[in-house]
Amino acid sequence: MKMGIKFLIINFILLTSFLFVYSNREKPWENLKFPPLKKISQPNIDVSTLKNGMKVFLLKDATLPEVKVVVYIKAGDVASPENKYGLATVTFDLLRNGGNKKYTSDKFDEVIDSLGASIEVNVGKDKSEIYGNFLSEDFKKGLELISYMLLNPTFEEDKIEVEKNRIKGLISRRNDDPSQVATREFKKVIYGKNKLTREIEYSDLNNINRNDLVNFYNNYVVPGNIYIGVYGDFDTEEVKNDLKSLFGSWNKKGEKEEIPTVKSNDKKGVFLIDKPDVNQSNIRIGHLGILKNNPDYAAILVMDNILGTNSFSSRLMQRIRTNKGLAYSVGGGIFSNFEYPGVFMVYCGTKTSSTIDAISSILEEIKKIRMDNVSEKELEDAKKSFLNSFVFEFANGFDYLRREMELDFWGYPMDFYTKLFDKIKDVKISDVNRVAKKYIHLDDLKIVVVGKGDKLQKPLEKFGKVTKVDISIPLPKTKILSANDENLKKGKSILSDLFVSLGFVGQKVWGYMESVKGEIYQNNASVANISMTSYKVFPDRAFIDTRFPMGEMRTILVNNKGYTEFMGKRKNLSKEEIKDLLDSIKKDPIFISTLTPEKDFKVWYTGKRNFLNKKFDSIRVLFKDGEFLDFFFSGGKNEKILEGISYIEESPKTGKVLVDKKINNFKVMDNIKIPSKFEVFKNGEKVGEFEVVEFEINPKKLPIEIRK
Amino acid sequence: MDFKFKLTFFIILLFLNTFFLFSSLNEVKNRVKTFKLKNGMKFILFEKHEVPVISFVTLVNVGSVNEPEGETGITHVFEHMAFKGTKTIGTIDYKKEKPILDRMDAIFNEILSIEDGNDKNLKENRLPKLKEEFKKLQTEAEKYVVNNEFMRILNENGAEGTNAQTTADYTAYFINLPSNKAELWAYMESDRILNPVMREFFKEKEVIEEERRMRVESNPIGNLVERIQCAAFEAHPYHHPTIGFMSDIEHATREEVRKLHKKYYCGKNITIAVVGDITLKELKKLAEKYFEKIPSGNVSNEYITPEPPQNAEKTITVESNAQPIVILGFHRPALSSNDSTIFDAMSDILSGGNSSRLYKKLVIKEKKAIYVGTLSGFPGNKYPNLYIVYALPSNGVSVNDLKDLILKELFKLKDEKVSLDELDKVKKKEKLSLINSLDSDQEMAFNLAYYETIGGGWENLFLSLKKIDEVTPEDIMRVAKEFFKKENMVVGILRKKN
Repeated sequence: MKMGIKFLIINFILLTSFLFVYSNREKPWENLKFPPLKKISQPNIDVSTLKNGMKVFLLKDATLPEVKVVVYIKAGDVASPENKYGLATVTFDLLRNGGNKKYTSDKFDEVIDSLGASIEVNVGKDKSEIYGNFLSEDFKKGLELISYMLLNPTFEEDKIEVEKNRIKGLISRRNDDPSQVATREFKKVIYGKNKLTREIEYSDLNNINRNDLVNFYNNYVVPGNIYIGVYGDFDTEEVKNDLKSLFGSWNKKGEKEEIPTVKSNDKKGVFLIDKPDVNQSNIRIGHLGILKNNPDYAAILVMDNILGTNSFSSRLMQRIRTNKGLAYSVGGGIFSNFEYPGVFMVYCGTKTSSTIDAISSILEEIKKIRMDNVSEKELEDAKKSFLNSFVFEFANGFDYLRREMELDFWGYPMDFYTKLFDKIKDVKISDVNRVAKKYIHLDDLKIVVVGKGDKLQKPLEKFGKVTKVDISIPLPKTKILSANDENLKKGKSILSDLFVSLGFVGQKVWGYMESVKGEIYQNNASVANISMTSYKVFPDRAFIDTRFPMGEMRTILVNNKGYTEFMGKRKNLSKEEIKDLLDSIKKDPIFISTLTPEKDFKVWYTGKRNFLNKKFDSIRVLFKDGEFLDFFFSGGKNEKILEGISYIEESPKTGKVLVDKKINNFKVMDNIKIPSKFEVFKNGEKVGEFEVVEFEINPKKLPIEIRK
Repeated sequence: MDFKFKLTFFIILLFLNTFFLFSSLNEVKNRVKTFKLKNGMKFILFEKHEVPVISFVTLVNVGSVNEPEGETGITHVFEHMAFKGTKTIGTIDYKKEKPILDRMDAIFNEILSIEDGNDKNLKENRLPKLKEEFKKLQTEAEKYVVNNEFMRILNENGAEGTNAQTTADYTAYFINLPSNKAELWAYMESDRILNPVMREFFKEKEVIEEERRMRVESNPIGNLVERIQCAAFEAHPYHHPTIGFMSDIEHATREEVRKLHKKYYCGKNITIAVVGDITLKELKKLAEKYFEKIPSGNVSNEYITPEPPQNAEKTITVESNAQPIVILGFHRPALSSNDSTIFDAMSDILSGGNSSRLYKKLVIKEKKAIYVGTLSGFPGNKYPNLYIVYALPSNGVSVNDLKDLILKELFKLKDEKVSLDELDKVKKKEKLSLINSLDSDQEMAFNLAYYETIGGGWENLFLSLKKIDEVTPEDIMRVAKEFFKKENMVVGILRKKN
């Protein structure tokens, strides 16, 4: 009792000035008299099950002459095999785009477009959807089209290639949007690396073939995994009959997907993703969340609303956006899923220089909500905003149908939301305080930041150990033959044949000079002419003189040190640049021809492999430090023709880059058959085209800078 | 049944189908009711009583196109300020708050003039003092603010999807409420039009700067789009980025924004569309009680510099670490022009669905792109604007090759007539797309208000179907010939930094 009075007094002192003014304040809107809300009549969904187990949900609404169809399939990419991740995506997209027994894919597209309709497929992690929208006059036809997709897909080979090409384009773009990167990497930190957080890689696509699609389809696209919902202007009995005749005799048993179990990840601290080209940091803070059937779900929703999900009036919005002007987008809460726990996540985008301030403020708000300080007014506002907007659950019939279907699909009771709103009515301050403490764990918070790494790394250490996360996109791994005895033997002899055919044998070579002219390409268009004279003295001296349109640049490497001179300025080479230069000497076939196989490198036959989209025989030269060079060649036993070489270049700026040099012409110069015309590709994109104009083996006059 | 009869029967069936569709959309059209207040403010109502909710859309005929040079972004700034409250909402005592806000304006103006000037002495001595005083006043002013009260009132009364949008052409405000709270909407919406108080103005500008960083500066495509807009319109104010240039946002003053509000937020310039559970009588009563006091204003037909014809292809390049994209823009006439429908038809033929020309050729047949789309009306529709074709190249495909392929397809429309089959597809597509634009309450309300304001009258939303039925292959050829010319083209390229 005493404590209570003290508390009241403190409260009084703190609030006096406000109370005084508040009491005099006019609030005309509070004088408005609202009539009671009309009774809501819940839309009537007709639910039935076909004999084969397929569930049907129908909701009629004749306001507009259209029908919307949605098909849920209980399978997503978590059902894809580990080394063929994305198989679900490819398979389901091909239901739509790969043809069926009734129509080829091209004809199928024609038919859909001739109805002015749309059919789209959306593949998720554990659930996939087909969505169709038709004029009601064409609805019967639309339903048939969807049945062809589900029952008789043909998976045309060339359309599999179109799909793979599309996904490859998406893979290359997945790091372009910083906000998307932040959420994705946050989930990886929270859930760990598993099929819920994995992304489709180039190598997965290379592993997927048509047979895989057929198997996946047979296993997962079965009536027992499927729900169909129909909304709009139709005749219920007619649709029921249509569905029976289209799907009734479809009897097929399959598999259930397995959803990975997720548990709290104990890695803590800060995870930094470097994006040097942005001036805004994308921040995510949080840990594992809850399942939707959590008994405290109602209280958690109310707490979320107060902390960060209520637009504008949440504490996070108030503090970070309104009061401090630090962000446009900020908010968050404990999120939930039906079938595996969601995440507790706070998100925020703020300029680089205010990153630390924003994170500190967010952390303070997270701490605060756990300190028993939710006010009666906050609780009432939050509850009112839920309860008064409940009626919107029914405002859009199609959304309502989808929500109800989803509940049943994941085995939740159909009155889940109605009951939830009843529970929200009963949420008390003590509940909110309790769930805040129970479900938010301060010692478990992970912070993910996508932003300017060099500016953020140091200051972020304030919040814990900073781990740099590499998001560079792995290049496709190509399978090569193993280095067994047979392949080693074969490789050695092929290499020697190649050197013979190029005339690399018969003299002791210690270096060479070549003059090259050519064009630099950007986005596959020539952007500049260059000419270059270079001297190489094996294994570690080089002199390169390059002429650009804007001037001349000299690069000198000697005794593991080097510099460049450009427009009168000299700059020392960085460690990485020195390594690049040394590698360029090492990965030169002429240099390799001076080395001894087995002693200096390992070489073996690696079979027929892809080189710039064509197949050639290949060998690999592997150095002791793990660096390698692949030779691609054609020709028979007697004469071998070098078609190109390829290797991986790595730098902190660009990550791993695949370099391909394609040889277009040879010319005999100084008794050696020199690849005189060649093109250079980086990650498949052309970066240059060159021609050798002068060549001298063991040059008589070396530039003074690299003489011994 | 002989063949002839079969055919006639088939045609009758076809006719009946179309007839039913028209009649059921006509039914929708006939249920739309309108009225006008004495101050010129227009109301459009579509009654729907199944669920007790109402969608309200207020569309103000002002966009970034109306901003004076050097003040880009202020239309959008006002939109943000419209959530900061009024003389009664969001303040504990406006009378005491006002002089502080006014004093801040005076200091801010002085800060700007010193910062923009060359007087070193003022910069070193006077400026820090002013900034300190400004900060003090800011803290002082905060004491009178009831935080986010405008949104709080709406939220606790069950509002859903409260939002606003500023574009080159218009500013729109969206509120959905349970239908028994209609009067609350009328009170709040009219109060913020009549009595807005731009409090927390300078903090909010920082928020808008973050919005700009998010949408433009840290987003390569956003960056490219802004530059295309600036380059395509040299004379016409469509070159104003709606979010505003960074320095213009920093320079924005309450006086500038107030002027814009005074001129454009008036009866003659506002259309309100309402869809949901309210009768015409009820709405009229609320409209007269709350909105009639808004002054009618005198926005007349303003002179806006038209864009002179371009005389050669223009190319804008943005380099970034993101993957490439190519955007082609062609100058085209405004939405109100007769050719508008023909551009819509062309969009369907080029990129509507997998069997459309560009999609089929570039994505499916040649695999040169992973996506291709078209867009009419960039950055707005009120004045002559750009017709946009954009594509995301497949890995390793050059933007220039892709550009040439697109142009080849576009130029084909000049030489060969499109087939009647293709036109039939278009007609079907447009029907469904009209229906889609009506199938949520908020979208329906928005489209009614939009067509009333920008499209020459809300009825045109429905008339578009009739117009599309009249499009001929010759029309398409004529429009393609007139507009798909290199000298009428702006090319935007996002490419990788090497």
